[in-house]
Amino acid sequence: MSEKPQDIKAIPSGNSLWKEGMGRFMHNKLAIFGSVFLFILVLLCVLAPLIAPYSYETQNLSYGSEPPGSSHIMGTDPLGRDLFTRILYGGRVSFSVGLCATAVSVLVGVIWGSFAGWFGGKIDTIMMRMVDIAYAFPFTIFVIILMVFFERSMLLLFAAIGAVEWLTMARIVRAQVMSIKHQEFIDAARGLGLSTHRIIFRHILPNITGPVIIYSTLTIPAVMLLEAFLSFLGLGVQPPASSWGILIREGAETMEEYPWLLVFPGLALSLTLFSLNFIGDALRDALDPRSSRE
Amino acid sequence: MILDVRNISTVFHLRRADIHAVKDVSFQLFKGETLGIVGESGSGKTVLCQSILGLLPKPPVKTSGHAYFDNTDLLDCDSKKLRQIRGNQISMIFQDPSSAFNPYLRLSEQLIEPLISHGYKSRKNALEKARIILSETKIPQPQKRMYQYPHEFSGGMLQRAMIGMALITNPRIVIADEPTTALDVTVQARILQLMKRLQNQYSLSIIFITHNLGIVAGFCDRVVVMYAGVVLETASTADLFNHTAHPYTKALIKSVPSIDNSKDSLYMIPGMPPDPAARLSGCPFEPRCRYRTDKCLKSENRLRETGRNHFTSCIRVLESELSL
Repeated sequence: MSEKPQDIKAIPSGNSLWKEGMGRFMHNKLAIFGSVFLFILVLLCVLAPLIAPYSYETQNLSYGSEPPGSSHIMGTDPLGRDLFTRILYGGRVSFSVGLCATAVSVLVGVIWGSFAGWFGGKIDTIMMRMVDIAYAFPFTIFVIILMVFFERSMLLLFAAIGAVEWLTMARIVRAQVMSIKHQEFIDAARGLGLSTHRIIFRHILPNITGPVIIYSTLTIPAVMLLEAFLSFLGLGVQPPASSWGILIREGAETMEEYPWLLVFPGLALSLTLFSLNFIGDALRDALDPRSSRE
Repeated sequence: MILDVRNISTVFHLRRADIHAVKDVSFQLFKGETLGIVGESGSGKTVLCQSILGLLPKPPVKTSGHAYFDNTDLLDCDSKKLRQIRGNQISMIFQDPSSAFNPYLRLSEQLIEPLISHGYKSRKNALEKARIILSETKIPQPQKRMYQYPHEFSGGMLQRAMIGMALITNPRIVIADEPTTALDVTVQARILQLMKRLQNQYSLSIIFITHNLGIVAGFCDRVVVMYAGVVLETASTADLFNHTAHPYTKALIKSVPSIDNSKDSLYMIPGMPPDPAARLSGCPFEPRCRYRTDKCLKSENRLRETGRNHFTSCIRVLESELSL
């Protein structure tokens, strides 16, 4: 704990751990680069209908497999569709899968984990053994079964990925809640007559937001990768809609003749993943309470 | 009398054994007095106070006995009633101020929480009360300081704020669980001074849990000496030090390092406190007592008066075989 000597004269308005953490975050160059890159990319994808030079599904066979040039800056695929446009539209799918599935996993994981952690004992044992069982279930088979039994849809894709990703979140949240539950300020809150409801919402949940946010930023790329993987296998988004996974698969088929079809979607995905991971790492360093006590 | 604790026993029903943490403890607390509860670590001081306030998790822990506060038996209250008393009528001060505040909330938010939880409606008035109580606890520039976060305070400051938080609802009893253990000696003295002043100002009764006999001597009016979950002696502070009745108390006082005989090695009570899982008959201090006889094991461990308001459980002292 640092005691600033000038405290006696000029007292700064309180700096929360959040503010201090964000200050440290702003010093991380890679994270800043990642945030800016992501911001631009997301903006481009969101604005795709306005700025895309072509339609993402209109085929123009006379311009098939054009290399990057002045009319198609990233070239075209064998069906003559503009790759830049398809990447933008594919990004919309990839980002929305990433965000929605992560949101599902955070929601379920936080509720499940905090329940198990707060109540402990038998409830905890039962809930966490269920998580263990779900962990052991092979993901690909799970998704294939889902796809066979239900209609293929984006919603199902969100649900399937979210259903797998919440498991780790639940474990993290449970561990956090358990360690915070035994800290003295929770005892103090109980000793001062606070209700359980107030203790959970005012004292426990704010204390786990750091780890939850950090893990979410690391979940988003994992989910996007899963979506790409499923689309690559043909289990995800269906043509003519595009996602980065689909574009990479199509690019991989013609890799030797038309390498740009693989390079550009691959770049978009990997740079996004890098950026998200940089941000996640920086957040972890910035929000970790241990690093604030230097 | 403001709090009358009668025959409290607390048992932890654990899988491998039943731990008898507190055995048949009774004491009284009077208005405006400071009652010290002394004992080694693990003697049941903290568990005793937590039992009274119903702060222990119910399934593994079973508490029996009575604790009368204003004609209500605290051990017989439902959790809702008890919550209305906790923090409102009876407050607590905790040992380690740096971990007793939520690091993510401004001090002001945490100070007004007891008020808000006990039905205080106006946030603005609550904040004003928080400012006043902080200035009472001699925190400089409270109107600015209270909007800071706990990590921006020193340990002594936080303990002052904690005392403020405990007093903000104008409670009648404050239970202070080793409030100065985590602080250095000079800060400790100032915190004790502060507590004394506020005690007079608010006519508080304080239960002061400590293992520091020096603090007991300087701060408490009466003392309860606990060992292995039972009370061995209660007396006024002066009587306890001048006419010590129980061999354990004697040994405890002797173990305090003194500046006069520093050349000798420190006095140590031989042996270890008994295993709390084992249920012993007779005096729990018997195995370590230098005055033990066969009678001690058979004796019933009950407090009896040896002097005016001076109670001890030592059978040999009571039968005048022993005078310390």
